Parts: sequence; structure tokens; C-alpha cells
Amino acid sequence: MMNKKGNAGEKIMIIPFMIILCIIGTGIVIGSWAFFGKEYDFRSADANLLNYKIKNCLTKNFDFSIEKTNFEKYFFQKCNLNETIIKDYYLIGIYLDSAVLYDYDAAHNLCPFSEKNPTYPKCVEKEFKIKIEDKEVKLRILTGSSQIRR
Amino acid sequence: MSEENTTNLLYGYVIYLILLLMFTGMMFYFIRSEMNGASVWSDYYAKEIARQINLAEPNQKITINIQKATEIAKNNRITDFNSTFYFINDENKICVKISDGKTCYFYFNNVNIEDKEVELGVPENILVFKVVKK
Repeated sequence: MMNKKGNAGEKIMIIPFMIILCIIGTGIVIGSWAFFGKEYDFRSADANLLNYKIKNCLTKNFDFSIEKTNFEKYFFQKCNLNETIIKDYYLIGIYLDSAVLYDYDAAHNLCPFSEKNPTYPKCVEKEFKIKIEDKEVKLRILTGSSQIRR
Repeated sequence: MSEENTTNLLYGYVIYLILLLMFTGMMFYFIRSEMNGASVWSDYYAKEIARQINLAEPNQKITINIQKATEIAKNNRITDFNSTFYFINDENKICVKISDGKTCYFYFNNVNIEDKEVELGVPENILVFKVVKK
């Protein structure tokens, strides 16, 4: 009869060996990702670009007299912006003097927190003076981006 | 020590050795793929191309130097450079694949991308495409 006394102990040693490999592997993966894998943060540039596009659009034959209920549709069409993408990853606020012309996803509420929390959308706010029916008004455009790579 | 015991002992060591070699190989492959900067560069290209599309006017032709991306793709054994950059017009998305993974980014300009072409050696590799209204 074969003596199997003590054989189990030798085979069980593979478990701590695997655990050590897992710990070393996890360390290497985390270290490499921390060093090489940091995302190129594009959100501020994206928000700036959207702001610029909206400004260009609003200052070129834009009809500000359009009814508030039709404004959103007209705005996306006129400015040639993709509504789905904007609503999923961006914030837009457009204000004429003190009146709110358009404010998607409460841009004015979310943006103040973006400097305190890095996971919040990065925002850009710009003011311009424009003439509507020979009257000079202050146009304020607030844009934000929360898009990260996927 | 009997012959049977010696065989058992060697067999135990062989298993450890195989596991260690597999682990080392996997780690080497992972670090090598990270070190050539594929994830950083694909991220960079996807976002820069999205930026160019967002700035573009309809019917504009855009040319982008993709020399670095093709070098990395070649190192990662991707030889079909046409498949490294692709546009999904329905989703307004640009994807870059220069390693096993891919990076995608959305553009908000409501346009389609047409006539995409990768031109090699002019004198460097370039990506050419046309932006058209949806």
C-alpha cells in the first residue's frame, strides 16, 4: 500500500504561490496604468470649442425672436449640433442679459462645482455684446463637457 | 530516495516553473504593449480628430498626419492601416485601434464622414477624409 502521508501539504503550496503571483501581477498592472494610462483630459478644450461654435452660430443670422418652445429644435438645427451627443455628454446654457434663453441639464447649477470635483464636467463661460434689433445686449454662453474616452 | 519519489518531486517543480513562465510572459506582453504608448496615442488621435471634425465646415477635406499611429500599430502587428481609424456616422463616433484595445470619441458637429483614405509615404502616412452635412 502506498503511503500518502504529507502529500496534500506539498500540493496545497500551489495556492500561496498563485496568491503571490496575483499580488505581484496586480502591482505591476496598477503601476503601469498609473504611469502610462492616464487619460489625455480634453474636456476643457471640448467645452471651449462648443462655446466657440455656439458663439459663431448665434452671431450669424440667428433668430432670437423664435418662441421658447421651438427654440431647442431651431437652435440644434441652425447651429448644426447633434442633439443626442450634446444631451449625453455636454452642458449648454445661453443667457441674454439676465434672461435664460436655453439651459440644458442645469448648466448654471453644475458648472460651479467643476473646479472642486474633477469628475464633474469641465465648463467654460464667455460673454459677448451683440446687437439684436439695434439694441445692444449681453450674451452669456456657458458650456461644459463630461466626455471621457470609451 | 526511490525513483518514484524523485519523479513526483520533479513533476511538482515543473508545474511551478510553467506557471512562473506563463506569468512572466503575460507581464512582459502587458508592459511591452503599454510601453509603446498605444493607449495614450490612440486617446490623443481620437480626440484630436474629433476636434478637427467639430471645427470643420461641411464639404471640408481634412488631412491628418498619422505616422506615429501607424508605427505603433505596426509594432503591435496591425498591418491593415485602413482599419486603424474608422468612423461610425450613425453614432457620430471616431474610433482608433492601434493595439488590441480601441479608443472612441464622439463629435458634436452634426456631420457625416466620407471618402476616408489612408495614404502611405507622402512622405509620411496621412489620413484623409471629407466632412459632409447630415
